[in-house]
Amino acid sequence: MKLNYQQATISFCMDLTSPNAPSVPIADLLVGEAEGRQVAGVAVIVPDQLDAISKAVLNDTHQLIRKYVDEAFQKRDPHAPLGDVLKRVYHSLRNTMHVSTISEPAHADIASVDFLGPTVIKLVQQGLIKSLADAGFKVERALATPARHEQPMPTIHNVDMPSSFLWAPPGPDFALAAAG
Amino acid sequence: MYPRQFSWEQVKKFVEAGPPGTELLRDRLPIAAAKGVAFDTWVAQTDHNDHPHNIVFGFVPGDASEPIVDGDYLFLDYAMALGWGGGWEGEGWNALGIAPFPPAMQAAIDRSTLGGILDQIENVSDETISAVVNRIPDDYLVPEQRAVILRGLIGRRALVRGLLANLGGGS
Repeated sequence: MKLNYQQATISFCMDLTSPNAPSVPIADLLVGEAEGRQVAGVAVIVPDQLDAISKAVLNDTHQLIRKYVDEAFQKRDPHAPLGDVLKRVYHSLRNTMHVSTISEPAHADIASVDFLGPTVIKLVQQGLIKSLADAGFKVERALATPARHEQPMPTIHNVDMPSSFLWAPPGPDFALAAAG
Repeated sequence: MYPRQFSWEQVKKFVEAGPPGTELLRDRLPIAAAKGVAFDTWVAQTDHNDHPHNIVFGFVPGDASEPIVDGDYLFLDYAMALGWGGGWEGEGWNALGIAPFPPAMQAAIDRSTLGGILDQIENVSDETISAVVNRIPDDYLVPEQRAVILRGLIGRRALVRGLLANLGGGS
């Protein structure tokens, strides 16, 4: 079976008052479709050196994103591109947490439906680890150390292995879709 | 402005209880709610009713000795206020009631602060209101609308206390 999917990176801006402040990837979101099935997954990482309020919010990230994704799938025209779902997330995260990149649509061949979930988990984990690497972090099983930067990034040095969440978003709700 | 900001949707689940270190979300709520509901009612803001994004909590992260230095709730997006859509035309400014407000905020209102804010609103002079409204260029606010907003703000100024007298919640 063929999984059509699109991913987005969600980042955490360390200082909204500074144009030079680093933005650290904290989640990778995937929305996809495979033979009529809708699937979504998110990998989230909570840097251990953040303040308590940010940690509390980040620990709730997967639930917030799931809400946005499920609402978007319900309101979406079944023929609309998956990017429309990611746009909903983009427009809902406007502050310290924001969508920093949306990738091009992609696809993966999967042997059977049994591999759908594991494939999504693998893609979001890989996506987040790549985003972190691009930002100068290396994720390891226990703790991560800064990579590719001679000076550690401010505030965040260590990150835990990302947590991943997988779910099947609801199909279109035509009443909601008609209401816009 | 604050280096870190989260939307009301992101923080509202922590305003009754939250993990250690999130106390500021609760500590700053009663006074912010009092200021917010009084001002919103005066200007007839209609877009703060548990809106996920139009209220944010901003704060300054600190260090290990003082993890969070300062923070407060910020009320944004007043596009749907001041009689937008003709609501203040004629005597319409006189008919609108208490501004819709997030229930969790309404329940937390500090009544003492609210009284002080109402005093401040009632003490804003006609001249000050006129100066604020009249400084908006014609390209952004046509003179006819400016007159409507002036009448509304001056007229409602004395009504806010009465409107909020029946507001439930708070302590």
